[in-house]
Amino acid sequence: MTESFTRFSLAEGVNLHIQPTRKFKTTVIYVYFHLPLAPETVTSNALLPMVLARASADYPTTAELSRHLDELYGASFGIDVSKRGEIHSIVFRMEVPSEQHIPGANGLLQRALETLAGIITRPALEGEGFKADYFKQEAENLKQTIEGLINNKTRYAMVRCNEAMCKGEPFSLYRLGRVDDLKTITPQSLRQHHQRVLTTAPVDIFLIGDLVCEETRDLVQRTLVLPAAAPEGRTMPTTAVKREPGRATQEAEDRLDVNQGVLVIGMRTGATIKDDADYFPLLVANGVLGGFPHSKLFQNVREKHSLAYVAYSAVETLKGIGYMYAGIEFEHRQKCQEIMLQQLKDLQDGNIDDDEFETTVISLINDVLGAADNPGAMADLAVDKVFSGRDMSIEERVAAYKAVTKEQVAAVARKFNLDTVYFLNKGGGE
Amino acid sequence: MEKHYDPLLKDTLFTEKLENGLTVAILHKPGYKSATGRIATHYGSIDADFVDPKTGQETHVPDGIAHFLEHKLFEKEWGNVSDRFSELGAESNAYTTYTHTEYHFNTTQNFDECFDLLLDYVQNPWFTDESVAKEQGIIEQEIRMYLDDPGWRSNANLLEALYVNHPVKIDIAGTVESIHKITKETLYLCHSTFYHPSNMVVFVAGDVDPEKVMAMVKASFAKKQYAKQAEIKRILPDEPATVAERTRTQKLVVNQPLFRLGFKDDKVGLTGKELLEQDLLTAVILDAICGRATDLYTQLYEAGLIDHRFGFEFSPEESYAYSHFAGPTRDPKELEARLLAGIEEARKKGLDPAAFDRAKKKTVGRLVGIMNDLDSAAYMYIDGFFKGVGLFDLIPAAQGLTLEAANERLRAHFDPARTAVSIIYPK
Repeated sequence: MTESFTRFSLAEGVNLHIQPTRKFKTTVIYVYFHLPLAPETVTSNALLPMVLARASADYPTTAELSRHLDELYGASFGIDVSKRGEIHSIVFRMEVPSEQHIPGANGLLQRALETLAGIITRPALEGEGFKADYFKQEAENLKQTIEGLINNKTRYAMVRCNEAMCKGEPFSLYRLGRVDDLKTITPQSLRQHHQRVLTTAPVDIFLIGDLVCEETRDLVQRTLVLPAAAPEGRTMPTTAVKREPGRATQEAEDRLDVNQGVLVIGMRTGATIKDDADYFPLLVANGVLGGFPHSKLFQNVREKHSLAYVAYSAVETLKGIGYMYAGIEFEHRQKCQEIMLQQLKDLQDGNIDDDEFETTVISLINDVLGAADNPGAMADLAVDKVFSGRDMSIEERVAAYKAVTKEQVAAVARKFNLDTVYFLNKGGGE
Repeated sequence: MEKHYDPLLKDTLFTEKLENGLTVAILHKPGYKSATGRIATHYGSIDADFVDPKTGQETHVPDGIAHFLEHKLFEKEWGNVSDRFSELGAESNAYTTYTHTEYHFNTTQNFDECFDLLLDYVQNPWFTDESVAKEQGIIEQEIRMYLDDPGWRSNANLLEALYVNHPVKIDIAGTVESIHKITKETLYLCHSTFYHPSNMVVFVAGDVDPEKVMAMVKASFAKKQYAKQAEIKRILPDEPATVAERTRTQKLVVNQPLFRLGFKDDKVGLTGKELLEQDLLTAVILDAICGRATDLYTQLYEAGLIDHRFGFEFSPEESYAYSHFAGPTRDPKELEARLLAGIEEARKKGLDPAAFDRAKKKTVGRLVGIMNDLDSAAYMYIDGFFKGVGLFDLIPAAQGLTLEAANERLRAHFDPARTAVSIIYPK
């Protein structure tokens, strides 16, 4: 396989990953700052990139910054905060067309990197804090976005199930933080947080496009200059995995005035990305259970019993958590729960037929191979490597999937422990 | 087979129109690990009234049948099509819009088997009373899921307000009542009418051998006898230029009001180059009057009336078109007033030439970027094909837009007399 990132260490804890390819017509840049997911900082982590994205010292208003990006042939810039296990990453993304497709354009990549560096490291300030107006507006926007979780009933149900399941653990925190924290954050305190982020967070920078490695490394080193690390250095956060086999299942419910019920069954998987022997069997187990349209959940809940349009499962492999999910009629709750649990039991008992097993393996391999056509998926896989410490090529991953046996899949599934059954029910506000 | 090379994109597209009327297009993408195969028919949710080309009779079928048919084509006497794709290691799916239905797979392995399967299952329906009844339960849950989706409801309500008679005001999936009127006989009728090769297009993108792909399409379609079919006459009601209703509101479980303002286009009936120019021109105008770089956006944002979720779009089809602006807001009435005032000011003063140039540049850059992604390129091709627009026509058309044409369009399209508002309020 020709595609793989070349890694350069720019400083202790600051890594640059470059993927030269002529396949794409743009260059995509991702900059990740990895922070611990913790109650004290979760909301600041979410608010910080929103405020930074408004302006920089070079382009001190949002309109000026936006005009400048438009001039770079619609360079697209975005921010996000991702939660993988108990690692909370602030992500900056920039995409700019390759010059070979834009006649007359000059230095687009360099200008994009300079702009990105300005946004990340040279913010628009007022005294010791961020611009007060921008801070206030983004704090309000974040509040509305957190409260707006309820607008998407699927996501709301997943988040609520997770809160109940991981109560007391950092993993229970919502990716975008908590509304109450916003009262205590000020333009000054957020600016201090910004400086801590710049000096303590491990950083991963990805560039994917028509690039020459060494030249690009020099360009990034010149343009994206980060402050020196704090004395404690840049330490990669860790995730605490809870293993409590035999813990009793709890129930949780919300009532809202909705048209469809949402059933989410939360589990501890007892295996994670760090368990070499279990990792690939775990991914296959999820695939057999509910990762695909051919999987047990879709086939039984939807195709056989017509109970749902959506029925699937997912695993969070850093934290060791899994979910089964379906959108259903309120009165089908019990029936649907029984069918879902039966699918899990069948998996654990090794009732896996050859077709569903082989189909799962080949589908997972397709996902790995297809990632090479999508810059975002390439960066995702590379971040996975950083977090798991397991550096595997595409061929090695394919081989690892092929080596998984049904017995291993059933054995890993037997480590799954049901934790929380959550139901989004009708009847709120009546 | 014709070969088209675009020197700016450095992409090659091969096309051929077969004797049976089917168009085949292959986008060659060297170096891509995955490939996609797609087949689409010019048949969407708005086509419930038509003249049956075999009998010459005017026919009405239940609302939501195009989408129902899409679901049902996956079921065969031998099993489920998507399971078969999975066994081959491919992802498969399909979607129905107001105007077309598309079926596709994406795969890194077994392309030939997948492509044969795609062409075969879409041509050969198998419907039974039992399978139709089963699907009614699944689609009912799909409809209910959308009933709780504020963004979807907001757009549906806007269409109901903008249109008096046009079937775009009816949900793509139909209603719980209408889908229960669907029978296997009506499904067969719709399939034989609208899934005729002359009403369809095949698209492939990836690192494939174009000659071989073309031969596979020909072989697959040769297996079935297709009588020549005249163009299908679709019956659409007359639609006045005025809107049905000025404001439509609904209450849902949301944290703050969701606002949407629509401008109904009265210049409809365009296809090809004219429709493409109208599309790109309107998109550039929207960006130049209220994109992130504009004063209007800044004022609304800083007044706390919009946030980063605010967006706008022009949605043009041959028989209907509308522009819409949408986002959550603390005060829908004030947002409406200030947005309308800002647009009215732009109409009076005309666009800022610098803003127009920037928006044009941005459009060209984004159109280049779209070609990275096989799914997006496929959508652009297929959507364009049914409108008479070629994939490589877009960038030259964007480069050719003029400020004069933009100002004329700005004044004609953004007429406050043809607006409607849809608001979702918290319950």
